[in-house]
Amino acid sequence: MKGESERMDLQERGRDHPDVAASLDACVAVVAVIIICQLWALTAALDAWLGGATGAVWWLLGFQGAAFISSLLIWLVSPRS
Amino acid sequence: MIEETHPQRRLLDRIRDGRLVTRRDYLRLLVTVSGGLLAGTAGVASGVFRRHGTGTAGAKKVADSAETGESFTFFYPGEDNPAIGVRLDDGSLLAYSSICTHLACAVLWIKESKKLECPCHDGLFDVRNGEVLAGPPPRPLPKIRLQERPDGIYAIGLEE
Repeated sequence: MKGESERMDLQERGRDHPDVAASLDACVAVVAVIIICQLWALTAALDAWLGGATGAVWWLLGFQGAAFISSLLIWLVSPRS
Repeated sequence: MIEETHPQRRLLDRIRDGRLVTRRDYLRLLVTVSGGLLAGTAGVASGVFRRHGTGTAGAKKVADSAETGESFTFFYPGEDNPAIGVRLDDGSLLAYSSICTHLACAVLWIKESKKLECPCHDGLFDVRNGEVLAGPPPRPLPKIRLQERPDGIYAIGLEE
């Protein structure tokens, strides 16, 4: 009961409960890692395109799509503040 | 006095605490960046960035003749695709895109060393096959097929 009232109190003051804050921090960290991988993939795709390796570009585009869907899903399942 | 609603009070609390951006806002921003990177890669795949030394074109007369050991310049396949042709000592005729694959400087024929050189960053290319011999260029020069006809030298296509 105390935890619940503490949660309600934090929500009243517009603050995240420590559990929620930790979950959101973890989500931000995971999506940040995904974005770093996406930056690499974009660089590799441009290099492959300029080198004429168009097959590799499509694979990298698929990777980018999967990465974006992953980050979108993480956002959707992340706890509400 | 106007009574504050619950969301307004939460917003005011955040403003007072200097916390205008929440963790979830950060997460949403990162997901948007992720979508932007996907869009950027889709742009690359769809050919937004133009690649030199590619494309198709029919046979085009590029020179009347070429002296042994000398080079000549022309545009192929389009008018914005500079190229360089070289007649080697053994009589063979070779041509490449003259745009360096490093940072797009003009590639020159160095008669003394018998190499194609990019003077910007000292990139060297093998005149026999366009392969990189030295310097920072990451890829070989795109090769252009030439054909000698009675009325001159023709570019007839690009090698894959």
